[in-house]
Amino acid sequence: MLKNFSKESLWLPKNEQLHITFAHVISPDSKYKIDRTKLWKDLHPEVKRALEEITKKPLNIEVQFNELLSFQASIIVKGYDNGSYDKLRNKFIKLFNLPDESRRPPNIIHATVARFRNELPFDNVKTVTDGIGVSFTDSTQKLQLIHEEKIFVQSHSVISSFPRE
Amino acid sequence: MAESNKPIDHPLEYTIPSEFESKSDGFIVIAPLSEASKQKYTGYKRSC
Repeated sequence: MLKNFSKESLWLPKNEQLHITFAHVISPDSKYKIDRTKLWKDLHPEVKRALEEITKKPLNIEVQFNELLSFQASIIVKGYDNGSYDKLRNKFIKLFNLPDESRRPPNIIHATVARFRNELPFDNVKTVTDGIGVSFTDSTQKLQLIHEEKIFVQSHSVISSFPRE
Repeated sequence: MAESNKPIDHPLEYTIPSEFESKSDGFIVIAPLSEASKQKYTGYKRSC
């Protein structure tokens, strides 16, 4: 079914780009009153401490992915856990001063598996996902604080991993 | 291994639409998927 889409209209992330977004610290698409470089310099120590705090106990969050959802701009796999993601995300943003302009953490667990160049008619998108059953379990054992250099985490550098390796 | 030299799993990985070439400057916390999940993804891509 993917053959029905041109290279120009559909993009599939490479394996190493697959991730669950845990939380934004400085959102790529938000405008800030303070210069980003200065903001990051100020935030980095407290964000690091917050991540150290929430990963004091080893992470071992089992996520069951069992839904493939189509949207006009993307396709995602949605997962479910025992509530650990929600608790950790809420704890994380209470441990430092998350800028008002930054996106709040997502309230779902998902990984984006395809993106469309332009918003396509929904029926076209549905043809990709109709009839595909998804079922796999992933175990989250580490979080990475990254600097995204190209949108959709196509290019990024890992600043630190937590728990510390 | 440089990203451009990494093996690809599907021809649609080759071309990144120009709209996706935008530079970013964000600081984000992510959980990378496990190797086993990435292999599943490869399987799904090939089967579609």
